[in-house]
Amino acid sequence: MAVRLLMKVSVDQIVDEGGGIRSFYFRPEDRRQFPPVLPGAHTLLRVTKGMMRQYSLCAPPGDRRYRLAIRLDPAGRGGSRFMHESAHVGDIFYLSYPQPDFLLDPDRPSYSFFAGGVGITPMLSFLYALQGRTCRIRLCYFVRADGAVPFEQEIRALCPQVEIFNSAQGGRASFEDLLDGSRGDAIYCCGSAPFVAGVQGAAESLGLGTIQVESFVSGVKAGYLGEPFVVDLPRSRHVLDIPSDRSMLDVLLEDGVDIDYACEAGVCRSCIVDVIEGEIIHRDQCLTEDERRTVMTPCVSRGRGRIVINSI
Amino acid sequence: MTGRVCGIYTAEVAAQEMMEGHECRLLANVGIEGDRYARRIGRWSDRPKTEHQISFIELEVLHQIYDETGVVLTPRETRRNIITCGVRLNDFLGQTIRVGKNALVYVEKLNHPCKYLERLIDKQVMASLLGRSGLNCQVISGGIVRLGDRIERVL
Ligand code: FES
Repeated sequence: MAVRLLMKVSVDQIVDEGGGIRSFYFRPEDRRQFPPVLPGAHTLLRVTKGMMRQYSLCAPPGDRRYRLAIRLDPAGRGGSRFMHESAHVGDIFYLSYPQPDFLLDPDRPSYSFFAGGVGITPMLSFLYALQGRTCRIRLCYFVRADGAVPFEQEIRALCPQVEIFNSAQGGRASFEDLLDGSRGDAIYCCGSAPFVAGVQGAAESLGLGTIQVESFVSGVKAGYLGEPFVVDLPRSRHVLDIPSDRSMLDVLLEDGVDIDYACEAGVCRSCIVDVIEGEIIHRDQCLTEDERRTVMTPCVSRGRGRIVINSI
Repeated sequence: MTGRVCGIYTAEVAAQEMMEGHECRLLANVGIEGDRYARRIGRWSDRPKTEHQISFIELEVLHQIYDETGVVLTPRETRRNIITCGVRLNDFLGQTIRVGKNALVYVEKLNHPCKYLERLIDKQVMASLLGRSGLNCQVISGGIVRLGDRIERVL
């Protein structure tokens, strides 16, 4: 757990990184400096009311600003489109304190980093953190870029031995073959859910044990379907029917509940609500077993029959 | 019974870290100028209730919590608008109080601590706030409130 408060910030600089990715640099508006960031941490960007999005923090160590790299996802839910089309230098936004979920073990002799697309951003912060250390680093960067490969110069300066696989230019490799050369390394992987699943599957089949992963949702959210159920909100005296083809989060939002959300995939903890009564079918990837006794993530999880929610 | 205003806090949007001020303007039946509830974008604004217009908590409670549990809950972290000293807030329930020279506030409810706060600030404070979590009030008539201003019951 970490402090989840939002800080008022303004856009200080926008840099086109190629491949549909832009870096947004933010500076604080009502505090002297930002809280320190552990490598791999992310932040939640409040794009507009009710629209929170999760991004890795990847500013170089000497830069006191926060940097977020945002890839334009035209088929997405609108957060990246808003930032690419409507955000300008000087605009005010709100960013959460850093959320340290995907963290680097700093004392390993060798590392292998697997990055898919914009999943390169936490790896950038890892590379900065390991600068000047005597450890072996391997970086496999999978990308689709017709023009410049996003962040290539910056990466090469930090990790000249980077292996770039650009599918737009026929660059391919099998995860098994690559991972075979990473035995004994601390392995980290970040990218879209299918990319991460691919690397994880390959690591399992090679018997490499657990690898550290972080995935993000791209495109339109997956539909989390299931049995219909009923949500009782005693604090507001509303009783809502959740049909089988909609998420509980959707129905809560439609009912006008001011609830935070970001990933809509059960990974970011934004939408947590308290459960007073009823059986929950948990489908998140972020709660501990202990937490699951009293809370749920309505973006992906469902109830059986009737459930009673407290916090909204 | 007379107390004093010893902290003034507002936030522009839900979940934002509170901003500290020296003074604020209370707007009748709206809230505090610039605050999330007056702007109708607070955590509970989709169900507007007059009790969310302005909130109070005693500084003494924060000291008691520290003495009892060792947890430092700072005035800013309480997410209440006005921090008071020298007065038992619970005694004002159902009454009208004057804050500063002109502002009048009706004390609608004792605040009930919520898990939402614990999650935002990552501190276990809900249990220790029970029964002394401050007041939720409606602004009856507006006015400027400054640090050091008096808080008293209107007879
Ligand atoms: S929105 Fe991220 S866990 Fe529900």
